[in-house]
Amino acid sequence: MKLKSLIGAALVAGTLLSGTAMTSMAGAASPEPSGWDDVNDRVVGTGSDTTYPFMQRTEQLFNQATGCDTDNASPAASPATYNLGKCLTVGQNATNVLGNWDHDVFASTYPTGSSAGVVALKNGQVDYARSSRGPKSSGESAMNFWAFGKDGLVMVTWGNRAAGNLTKAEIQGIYNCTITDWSSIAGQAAGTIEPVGMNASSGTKATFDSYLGFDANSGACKKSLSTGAYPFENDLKPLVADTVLSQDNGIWWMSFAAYKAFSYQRQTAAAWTVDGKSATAGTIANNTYPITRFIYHVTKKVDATAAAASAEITGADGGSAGAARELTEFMCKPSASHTLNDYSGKSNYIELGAFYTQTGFIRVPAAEQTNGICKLVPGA
Amino acid sequence: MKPRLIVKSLAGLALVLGVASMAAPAGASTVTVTPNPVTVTPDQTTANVTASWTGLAANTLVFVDICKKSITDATFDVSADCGAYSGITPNGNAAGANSSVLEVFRGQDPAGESWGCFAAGDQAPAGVTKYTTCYVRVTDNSVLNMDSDSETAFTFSVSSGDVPEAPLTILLPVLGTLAALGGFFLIRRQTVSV
Repeated sequence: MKLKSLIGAALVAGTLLSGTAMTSMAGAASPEPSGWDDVNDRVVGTGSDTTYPFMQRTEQLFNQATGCDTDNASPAASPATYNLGKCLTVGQNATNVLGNWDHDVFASTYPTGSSAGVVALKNGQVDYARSSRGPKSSGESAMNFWAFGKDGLVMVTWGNRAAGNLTKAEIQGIYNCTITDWSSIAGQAAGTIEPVGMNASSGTKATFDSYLGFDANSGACKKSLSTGAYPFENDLKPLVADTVLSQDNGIWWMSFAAYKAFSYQRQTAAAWTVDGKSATAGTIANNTYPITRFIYHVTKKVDATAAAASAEITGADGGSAGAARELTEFMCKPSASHTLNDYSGKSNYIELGAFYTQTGFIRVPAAEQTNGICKLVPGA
Repeated sequence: MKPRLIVKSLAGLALVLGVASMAAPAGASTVTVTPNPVTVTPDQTTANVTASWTGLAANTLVFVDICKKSITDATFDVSADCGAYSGITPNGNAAGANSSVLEVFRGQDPAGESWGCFAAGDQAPAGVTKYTTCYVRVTDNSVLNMDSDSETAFTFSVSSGDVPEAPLTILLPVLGTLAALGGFFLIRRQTVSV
């Protein structure tokens, strides 16, 4: 054999051997059927405005979570060899399976509405979606909706209209325009009711439509902003600033979480009781408040799914799809499966708990959890 | 009075007023819980109390929460130390003072966290930290607002006997009416027999 052939054979053998060794190392050391591919993928989600603040916080926390030792050598000039921050493949402490192994990087784009987010995920334009509504009755069979929290909708008025009580029939009557004056509502001073609509892509609107049994934007008496656009959910500022809308006769609905958590969005809104029930965390948790809903992290089923009652999320192994699965597991696993945050020293479960408080949501009640601390609702 | 004395008096008054205003800064709130201790029967796990507050911002959303730790504790963290399912958020009013019925829990935190409010003689479940003094905390605008919050401690007292189903405010007028009616018929009967 000529020297060149010998060198060539040695190179091939070496490559094969190192490849086998790498594969075997990855296989042996792979913490679980995970998104561990040694690459810190860039992963993008979009959708709901209501869940945007919660997901932004969660993504930052997950970005910080513990993982592999990284290759911190200065990058070479060529982008093809760029590996700064990727996992080292030798000498890894692969026993740490609880954080963000690859140091994948997650970011939420500015809200476009739940339905727009789910469609973007379906189209492959993003890696996961935010939704404040559950799956539609059809057309979303490729999606898994992971409820990670619970919320309610509150009916609000502002200006000088004092809050009282509304029955479901009265709310329906207001939005189908059969009740048009406040004097028809017990204890209220007269005034023409101005029921304000909402951005059609909003999950908060979809939830309200479902409660009403019809499209809240369809009534002849419904109002939009004087620009002609429907306001984005949960933000009263444009309604208060609108010089055409009545400040004392308007009515709208909001996420209870946003109402509690973001006073700048809430402005002077005051919540009404519905069917005699106040919205509280307790009445939402036990479903005695009439308008409750879950809030969701949405993935493709092929990317993230779970067997019944299992907190182990299976699906994609690598790339941004595997990373999306890892984030899902991070959000849904119980307290005992979380590691400490490297910066605060607190359990990531506690850190997530603070996000619920900061954004007004509550965790899914134990009785309604199906997988870890989440409730999985497969799309149909 | 000599001018110097007047100046001294005014300075003293200003000092007193200044100290007083520092001691009770604008926006300082108060909260009380009635009844307190909260009387419960041996098997009772929740009780309605009246939480009354003053000094909160006018027409601003009120947050009333049940916490395991005092706000005077430097480590107090509302998300970790207050019940996630047990708070209420009544609308504020012009006075910044009002009251609301609050359901307090006896036992593990309803959100399932590993702490709870218990009567002294209660046995906490395994893994659940027992607090025999809990706190009702009020604040305004945001549950995270630590500038205008206040609290009151509360405890449970377990009654040995049955708690009457109807409160005295109902029982007393009913008994009084029955007594009056009885007297009326007694007098009438005596009058007829005469």
